Amino acid sequence: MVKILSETKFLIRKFKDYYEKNLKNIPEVSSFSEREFAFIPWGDKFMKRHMGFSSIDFFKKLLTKNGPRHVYYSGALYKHPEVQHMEQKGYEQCDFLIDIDVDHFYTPCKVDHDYWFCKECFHNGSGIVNECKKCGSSKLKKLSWICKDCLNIAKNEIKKLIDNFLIPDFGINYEEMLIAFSGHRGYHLKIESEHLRNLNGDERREIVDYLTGENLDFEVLGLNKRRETVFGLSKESIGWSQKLIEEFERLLINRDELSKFLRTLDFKTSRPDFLINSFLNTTEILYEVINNKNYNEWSVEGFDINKWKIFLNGLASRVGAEIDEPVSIDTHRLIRYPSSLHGKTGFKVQELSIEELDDYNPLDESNPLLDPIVFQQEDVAIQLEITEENVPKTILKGTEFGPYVKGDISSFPSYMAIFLLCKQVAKPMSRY
Amino acid sequence: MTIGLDDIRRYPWLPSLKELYQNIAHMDRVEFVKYFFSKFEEENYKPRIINIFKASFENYERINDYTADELNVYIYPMLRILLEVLDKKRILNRIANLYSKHANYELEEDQIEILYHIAHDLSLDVKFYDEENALIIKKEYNKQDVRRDIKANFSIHFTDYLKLATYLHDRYRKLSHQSLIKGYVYLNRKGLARLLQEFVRNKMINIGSLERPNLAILKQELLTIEEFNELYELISQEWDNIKTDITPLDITFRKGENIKDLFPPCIREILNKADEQQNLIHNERLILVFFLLALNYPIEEITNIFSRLPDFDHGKTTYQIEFAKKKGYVPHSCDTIKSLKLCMAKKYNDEVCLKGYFAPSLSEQRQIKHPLSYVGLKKYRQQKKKSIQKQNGENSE
Repeated sequence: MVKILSETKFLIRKFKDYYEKNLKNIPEVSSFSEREFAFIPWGDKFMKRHMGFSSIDFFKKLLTKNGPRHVYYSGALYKHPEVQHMEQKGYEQCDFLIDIDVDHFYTPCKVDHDYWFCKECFHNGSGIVNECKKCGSSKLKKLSWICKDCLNIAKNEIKKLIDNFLIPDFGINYEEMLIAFSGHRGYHLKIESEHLRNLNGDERREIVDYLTGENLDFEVLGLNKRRETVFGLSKESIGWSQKLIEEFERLLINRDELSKFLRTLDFKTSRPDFLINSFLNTTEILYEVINNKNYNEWSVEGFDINKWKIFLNGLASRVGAEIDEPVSIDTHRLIRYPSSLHGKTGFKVQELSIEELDDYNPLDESNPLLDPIVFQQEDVAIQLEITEENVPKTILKGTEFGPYVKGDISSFPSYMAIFLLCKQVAKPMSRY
Repeated sequence: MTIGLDDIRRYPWLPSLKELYQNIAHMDRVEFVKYFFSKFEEENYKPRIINIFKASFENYERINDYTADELNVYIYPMLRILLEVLDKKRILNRIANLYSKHANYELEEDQIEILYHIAHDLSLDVKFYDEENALIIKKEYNKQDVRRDIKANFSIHFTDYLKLATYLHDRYRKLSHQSLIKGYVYLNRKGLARLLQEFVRNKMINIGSLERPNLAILKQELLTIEEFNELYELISQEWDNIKTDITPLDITFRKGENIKDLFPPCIREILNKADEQQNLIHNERLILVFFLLALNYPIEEITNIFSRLPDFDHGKTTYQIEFAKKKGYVPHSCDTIKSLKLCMAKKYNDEVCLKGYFAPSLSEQRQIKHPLSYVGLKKYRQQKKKSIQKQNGENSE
């Protein structure tokens, strides 16, 4: 009788192998000895944190010895990173961290590949929900997946952040920005700048509000009502006012997109169609008005100043970047260590330059030096049995796998087998 | 042009003071105080120092006999030492408000270039643009509906801007509402002067690096100096006079019933600030007024709370509270307070705000969504506790 190795043991072995073979490629992050390190071991939900290393050699030894499921380090620098209590660590500074993860925002493809299952009434469905559509319970089991489309959306968000905010507005230099594919559903961006390192949480929150466009006060930006007439924002007012008008202008020349956008807004009226049609019938005049330097009366039938605020709020959501806000505000956050493996996919956390980001395709990357899918060399097929009710279609390295249902048995190349095992949707059928 | 003697005499809080007045830069407090009294005549320094304290106690925004002379330079460190020894937060706040507002006045009256040199002296990363090179950052309408350009003569690195502007909690100073280009926030003269005002206020408020026992020793030593003791007593007397005009902060829901303890942390924080006579920002004032009005507080009671503030004007305050009552404004919800960054649940580690409360009828923990619900819940719990205690009392009998 063949003794079946547990999937965990198999994955530990694979992760250890990776670290042993790639030790020289594990980079040393800046101020290494002042960083806190943390690991999530296999088979353990709890993070082991508050570790400090005087040299990267000890850190690498730990990687090869344990092959941990997840590896993190702090954005902050401490005098004593190894101390258990945060207040005794001797906080000094913190890099500015940005996390863009498709988990935190809507992408259309989620309807195709994200599933949920209600633990209370056993109802299930696809897409993102916070509570069961049938019984309203929040006790849900969720299966979130990845595809080229949602990773592209995450990539575009990070590009938007760099091109529309960090470089032109904040004057951040290329060399201060460290970008990485997270190994799963998004990208990280770390800004290593002496200026930013000294900001506290409240000051970081101000930057986050700027990047996301949240908590804007449109009246401060210039929107105002005088004698029943609404005067809008000016294209010539530098800052968010200009950004909003540019987006407004872009929508005005794209009627279909404008119409779709207007339908996403909640105007708090019983006659939304009237408002939308009224807006669509005024696009030419509005276009002329926002480009007129001496006249700025925003006149659309049914639109009072509050409707304009709803409209501008919607525009701000389109213009702002979708970032995971607490990550950027909290100065004690941890992020994944570059070139470590992500325990939910088996993919590598891949550092990228801004130029490399443009054509980057993590699920089918042609440049081997940037390819996060590391388990491709082995020419062995691994037989797995699917253990999850529904496993969506996955396209890795140009090959389509699935969709599968519970009980399906199939052979997979090692990178796909490791991906499914890391996702905990399959179990091994044979000894490897 | 750099900071010269004339500038230091007008702005003695500048770091250049140490360079231009090296003779006092390394003196300890006692040494300085002795030197001060040996250098200046009582008839010159006493009225000016006392006047500053009186003006702050009266909530003035200007120091009427402010003179940019040599004595003014020495008065600044003397003020700081006096504040340290007086060791009263309310006095400190009042002096910080007055001194910083006066600084703003001087800055707005002075030559525009001096603001650049001052910012530079404070190690702020600031650039200056003369009229020809000033950038148009905004188009605005004036009251006659005529569009006008707002020009920026200055730009400041956004990290320096955040250090000074974040705690103003003023929506007009929010980074998202600024013109930010390549790392610099563009400001007009007024904007930069307001930031410098905040610098002066912070500098004044952050005095007192001494530990308590050392402060007691210092106080003892300084009070043995006759002239210092006299100043100290005079100021304390002035303060006692004004203090008797300030009724203790007592929030009463219905006559005889103190419900201040039932207030959520956000409201308690604002009340504490008012109690310490710190300046309240616009939103804090609105939150407090709408909240107290919703609890049927009498207008005079609310006006009394505001009477402690540095910029209190009885007529205006009463009018505004009456207007708010007439309009029936709804008090701010927790979400709104959070968005204004005035939620204090974490700071006060308030269990009800952070974890919500258990509603048996719903078999689940519910979050508090409104400060008024917080008061309701606390009141319910208080009454329940009382009735249990009463019941237990009856049973034991």
